[in-house]
Amino acid sequence: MNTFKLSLVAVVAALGIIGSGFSLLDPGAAAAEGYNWNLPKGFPTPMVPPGNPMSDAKVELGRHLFYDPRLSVNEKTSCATCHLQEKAFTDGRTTAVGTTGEIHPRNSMSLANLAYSPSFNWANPAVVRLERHAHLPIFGEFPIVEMGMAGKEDLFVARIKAEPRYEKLFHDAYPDVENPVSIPNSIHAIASFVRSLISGNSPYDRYRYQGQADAISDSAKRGEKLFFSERMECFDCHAGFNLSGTVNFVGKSIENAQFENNGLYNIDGKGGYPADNTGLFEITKKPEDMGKFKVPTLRNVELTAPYMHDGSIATLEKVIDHYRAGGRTIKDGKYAGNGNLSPLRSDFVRGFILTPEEKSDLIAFLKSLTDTEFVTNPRFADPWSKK
Amino acid sequence: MKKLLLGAGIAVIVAAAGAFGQSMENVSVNFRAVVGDRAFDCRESYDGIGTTNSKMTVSDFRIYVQDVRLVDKKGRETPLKLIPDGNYQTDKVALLDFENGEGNCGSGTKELNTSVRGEVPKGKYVGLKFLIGVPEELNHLDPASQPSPLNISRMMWSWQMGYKFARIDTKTAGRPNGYVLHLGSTKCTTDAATANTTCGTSNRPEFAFEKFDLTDDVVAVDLKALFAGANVDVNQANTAAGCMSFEGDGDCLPVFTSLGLSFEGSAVKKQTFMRAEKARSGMAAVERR
Repeated sequence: MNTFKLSLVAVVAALGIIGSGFSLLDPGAAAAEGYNWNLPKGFPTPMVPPGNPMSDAKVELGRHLFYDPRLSVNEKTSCATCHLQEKAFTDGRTTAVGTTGEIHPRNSMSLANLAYSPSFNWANPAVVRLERHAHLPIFGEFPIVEMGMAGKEDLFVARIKAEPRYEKLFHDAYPDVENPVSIPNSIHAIASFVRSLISGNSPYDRYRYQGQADAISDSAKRGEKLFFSERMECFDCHAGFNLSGTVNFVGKSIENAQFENNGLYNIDGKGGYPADNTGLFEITKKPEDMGKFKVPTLRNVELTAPYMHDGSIATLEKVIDHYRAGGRTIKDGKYAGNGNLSPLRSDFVRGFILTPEEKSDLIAFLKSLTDTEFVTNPRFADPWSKK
Repeated sequence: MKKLLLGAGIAVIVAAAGAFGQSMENVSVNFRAVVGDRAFDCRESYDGIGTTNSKMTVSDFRIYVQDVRLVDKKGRETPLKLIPDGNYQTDKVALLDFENGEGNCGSGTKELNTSVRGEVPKGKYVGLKFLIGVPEELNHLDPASQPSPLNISRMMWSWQMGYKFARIDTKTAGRPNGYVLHLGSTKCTTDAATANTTCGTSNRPEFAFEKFDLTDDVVAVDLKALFAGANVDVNQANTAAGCMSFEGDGDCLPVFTSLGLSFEGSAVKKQTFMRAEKARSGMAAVERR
């Protein structure tokens, strides 16, 4: 745990979030790949797995597939159904709903800056490549049917071949391939599009990295100091330029994903979580992993309500109340328990004192992370829209 | 030094001659899906299943097989070299497909595959061994890019980053929405740097038949025996429907026991899921229906 904390502090320091900002961006490296990330100032170059290099054509193909409901069995659901651009690619629901009506146990996560993420989903340490992850919603059947295409490979390809716009898109994305329409090529293109979704032009970025002293309010500046204070320890988990758990990028040794228990539940006095939503424990079955979930980015957090892995906290105000108490107490019902007393709760979630003024400052800071350009950028928008 | 090299050279020549001199033969290991003494059919329903004598229909029934070995009378094992066919077999793994897409198996495929085909040095073999599973070195590659039968989405277990080694989907009187066995490796994690996945629990059961005549015998794969100790009408609350191999899901204990696997440290018992029987006796079973 100690080395973990040390490495996080190192990341924060290295990225200059606290100290004077310096840029790890190397435009030469990005250009050498033949793809321009349009990286915001202060953002490092994302890593790209061998076998799926980035290209504008592939990203553009991926965008069309991402927004295409024909990728679901009943043609009702696209990736964008649960990942809406105007909500920073979340869906506003408590938990997601699959195309055949099944209820997902988890809240749809934002897709912002996944290019830097060491793993995907709320708590799956085995899914470390977007190329693998993109399979899950389309073909997966567990924990729920999301898009329902398992066993429908032929239908998937037939639907794509029936849409005239795809012929050129696939040809441009895979110019050296004779028959480029295939499931692997589709999945790789979707992964490339998602990898291109980079958010770093919020007012806070303009203030912190781009020298615009008045880009955020005085209240937000006071909130920034609180966020990065040892009193509150927000930044011990939501660290670095992405205000998230561990990140990977070019020029740094690779870290595994960070999963933490933030004291939402303590059903049995031993830190127990609801049986259908036990987090990292579901995969590893290690008792100490009960209730551990990935530390998400706080970028655009104003737009991504409701919060937590199960959408169980409705507003930012209530999220701060949760951390102020150092865990959630549920008085009645089957989930009753005091999360603050959970033996599995992260040491960083220990509670703090906060005045009402400080609370509104902190919220002003969190809202300064809203990247309007990101949620309105036509390059990330629905290409099928008739608007 | 020269002598050593010369000696090594001769050894290589002798070994090569041995390999070339050995004449190989093509053999096929035949399987048959049954439910007790009835032949399996996607359109049928079956009574007397599990501890509650439930009624069951089946909507998927596919199993990966690896490490097939023929055994001689001294107990020596010879690997069966699988012949890739671009469809049901690579050189490392074969998929048994007992569903024909009809009746309750609407999500399946029309084709059936009820044998594993390969070549072995000519010889007298009296027994058979194999595992249910996909070899570890193939289990965590990008499944969309793999050759058939490793590119079939219904056999992919994305959640655990591997394959379902066995997929048996049923509906029962008490669980009309489904009671399944999805067998696969669990406790899998992937290193972010290398993308190498390792799993804490392998879940690849071995099936061994001391007496198995390749021409006269078949391996009967028996769903009734698989679920014999299970209550297929009830699902443990807050767990996957039936058994998806997750530790903590008590519904897995009876089916893992039938497979000859340990579940959460339970004692391993002799598997009851498969048996060797005369191919002709199976015909009789079909005729009885």
